[in-house]
Amino acid sequence: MIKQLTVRNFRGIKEGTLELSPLTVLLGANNSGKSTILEALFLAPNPCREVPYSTPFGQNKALNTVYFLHQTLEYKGYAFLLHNYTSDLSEIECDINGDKYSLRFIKEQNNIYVCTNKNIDNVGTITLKNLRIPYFGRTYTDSLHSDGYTKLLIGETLLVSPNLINSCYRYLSQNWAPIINTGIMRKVAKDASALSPEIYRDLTMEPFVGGQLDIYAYLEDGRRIRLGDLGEGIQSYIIAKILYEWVEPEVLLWDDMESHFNPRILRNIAEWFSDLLNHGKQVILSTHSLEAVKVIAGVNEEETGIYLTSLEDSIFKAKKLTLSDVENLEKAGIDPRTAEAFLL
Amino acid sequence: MRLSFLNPESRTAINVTRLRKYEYETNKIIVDWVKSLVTLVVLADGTPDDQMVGVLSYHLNGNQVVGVVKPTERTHLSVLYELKVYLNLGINKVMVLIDQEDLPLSNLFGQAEDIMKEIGIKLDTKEEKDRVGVYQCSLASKKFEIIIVVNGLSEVCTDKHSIEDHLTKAAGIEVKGNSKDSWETLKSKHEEEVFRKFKRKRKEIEKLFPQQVSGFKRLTDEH
Repeated sequence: MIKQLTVRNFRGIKEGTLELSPLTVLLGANNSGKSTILEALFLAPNPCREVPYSTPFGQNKALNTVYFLHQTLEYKGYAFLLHNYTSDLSEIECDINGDKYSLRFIKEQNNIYVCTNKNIDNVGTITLKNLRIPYFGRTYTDSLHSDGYTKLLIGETLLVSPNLINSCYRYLSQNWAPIINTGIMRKVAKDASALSPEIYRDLTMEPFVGGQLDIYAYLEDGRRIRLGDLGEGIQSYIIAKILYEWVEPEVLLWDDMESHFNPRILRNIAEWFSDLLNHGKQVILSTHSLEAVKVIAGVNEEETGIYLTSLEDSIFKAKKLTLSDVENLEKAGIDPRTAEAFLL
Repeated sequence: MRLSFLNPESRTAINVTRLRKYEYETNKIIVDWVKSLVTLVVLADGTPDDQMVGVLSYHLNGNQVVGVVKPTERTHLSVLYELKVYLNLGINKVMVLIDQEDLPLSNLFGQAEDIMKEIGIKLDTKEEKDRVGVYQCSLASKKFEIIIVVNGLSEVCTDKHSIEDHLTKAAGIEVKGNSKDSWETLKSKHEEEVFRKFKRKRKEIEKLFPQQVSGFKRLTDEH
């Protein structure tokens, strides 16, 4: 389990540390560092590894996925990973059951070298200030290309985000055969049926109008509904479950999880997380929804740490709250999501 | 004076924001982001007290930001049970805005003092004048000030004194029974006119809401 995360000069965070629980809920204002923390954890196992998202940029690497989440206009490159776009060294450090694991992005001219404190077969070395530094991956400030060692350096992490649904659809369509043969789709269809008046027998890929392939939920009466035409909550739930079953990560990261969920789905997700925790997995999510916090943390109270986050002058801060802290603040008329002035 | 809502989605925040329809520049009185808060207004009775806090802050000078909160599960004197929550969060000056209802003033202050003592607050000194009680208090090593402002006007003939005493007076409504019911009955006819008048006439505010103005000045150190 990742017990603590420290980031330095990574994206909008100059410095910040977060203790992590088996189930960690990040609650905070917009631009309070929640997504950056999740992206750091997503990149941590190896930014050059393949992940289950197909972006329009050719490679299905963790780096491409993070780039895709922040793409604006025409810029293509990874300078955005470095604090203020100019920092020479950006670091993601995890305490994994007492072992320190570190991932560093070192900028040298337009190269960004990816380095770690782990002993692996390094791709090469760079010499900076007379120091020879081994690196295992390389990317660029002005290009989306990356290469290097692609295996996991620590346990796999999976990022689920409403902004990645279409990238996931693309990935599923490219990898349909191996995925369908695992039996995952039938299992997920059955889980999703519990949340809907319809009973889904399976998820299939078949031609839609114009002959192009699309993903369908197959109903018991033989009808099919395009996955994209289901409610957004059910869609997000199905995608998260498929990806989880396919990747089997040690840590599930879920950004902005309230987006489309009604209380029935939330309760079901809380139940799912409870199973994951029982199997020694870790879940870290961000939300603005107090309802989501109360349902998910309520079902898993002993394992949950709720953190109010803030980012001030690029310093990330987090204050741990219990569920009863949240409830007591609410009774007193205080919305914990906006209580940084008091709590941090 | 500017306001920061401890729950920006609360009815309190919404009601103050709704003053916009009477052309109050609410963006000048509501602050969405503050680094720290040390002063707080606790509403014991909800609406229209919240609207009046908005009106008063519009007229009171200064850039000092005060927090505003209405406890969700408590009303009237029982809101005082939440004081410790606010004090533990670093607040050192609290103004409680409360209706007199049918209690004699001495009883109301007496009951308030009993509750504060019950939750462990030591009342070191007390000043009371014109429906405003100011207490210098301590809780363990923490020193703070609690200002209790009691809504109501003695000149209004009502079963229960409340903020509506002030509103009915402003609207020229004759109170039958109690001022709350009289205001509720005629609110749709008078509310817009009254709140527009409040916006235009600061002097009127000071005459109609003397104890509230005095309480706010005390809260923001303008007394």
